[in-house]
Amino acid sequence: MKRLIPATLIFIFIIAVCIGAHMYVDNACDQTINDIENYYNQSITGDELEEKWQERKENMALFVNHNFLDKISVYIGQLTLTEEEDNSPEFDTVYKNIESILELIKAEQKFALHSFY
Amino acid sequence: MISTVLRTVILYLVVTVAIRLMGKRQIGDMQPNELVITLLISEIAAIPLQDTEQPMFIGVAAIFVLVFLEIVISILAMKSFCMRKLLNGKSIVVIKNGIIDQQAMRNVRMTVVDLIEQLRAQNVFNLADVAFAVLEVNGNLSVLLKKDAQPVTVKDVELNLPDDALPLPVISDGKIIYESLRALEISTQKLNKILKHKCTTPKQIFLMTLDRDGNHTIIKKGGASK
Repeated sequence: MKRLIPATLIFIFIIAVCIGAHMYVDNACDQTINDIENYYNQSITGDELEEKWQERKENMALFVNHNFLDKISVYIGQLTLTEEEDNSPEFDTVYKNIESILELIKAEQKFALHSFY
Repeated sequence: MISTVLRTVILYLVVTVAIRLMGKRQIGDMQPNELVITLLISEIAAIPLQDTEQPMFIGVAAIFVLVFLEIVISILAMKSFCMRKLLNGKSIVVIKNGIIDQQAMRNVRMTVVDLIEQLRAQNVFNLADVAFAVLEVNGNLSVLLKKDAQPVTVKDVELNLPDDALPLPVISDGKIIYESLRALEISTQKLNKILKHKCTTPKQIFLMTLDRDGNHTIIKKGGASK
């Protein structure tokens, strides 16, 4: 019985972290989309967008597959190129790519039936 | 590279804590559900080590969830006979009154060769000597020999021998183990008296064992036992 108490405490802690992570990652994905839209509306600069993403990426890396985050970093880098180069990739295409990866990340955190099979 | 080293250290600590929480068991003594959990933990711990793209939290969380489940299930199995039977199965008698139960052997998919092999491992070389043999849930075979094949015991010859006293290590590598002295209810003064009688000091001793009756064995550093 003495082992049950620490194991239960750890289990509760892990469940709490999982719920917290789900909320944090969900929020971070929405904020990233907002930031990209703000960048498109020229409310923030490319450097600011990259800085905000880097900050968020470090925290998200605790819970999200690093491959996804690295891909978003590359796409955000491509987005900010539009400031400097004319032959940069189409904004909409890159935006859609980022959006779909963020949706994948959100879906991975969610409790979904398809995760079972 | 450094992250791999750090991940390895953290996961090693996590798995150690997890196994410690589950309790001490040898692989051979494990119940089926314990074996499954142990195999799963080793597999899960390897994933974040091999793939550094995976967040380590996923592995750690899965390990502790498994440990929690194992503890809950073992408590349920302890409290309920049905649960124990469901999770661990039950022991099967394969030899009853000296006769091999062939149906039981078929049920557990055990061949005669396996049975004889396991009997030999129990120092039983003649099948005719066996009264009962039980295949335990952890795969071990427990054997009860027929009366005429059982070794003679002190009880059989009605000898009046003193009770065994458990010897404990009281000095290890020159250091006195006070916990052992407390368990033996022997004072440090009595220990010192024994050492004085042997003309030695704790620092000169590699290992000393002592029992409640004062019987002792001393192995000096770089020397032989006395």
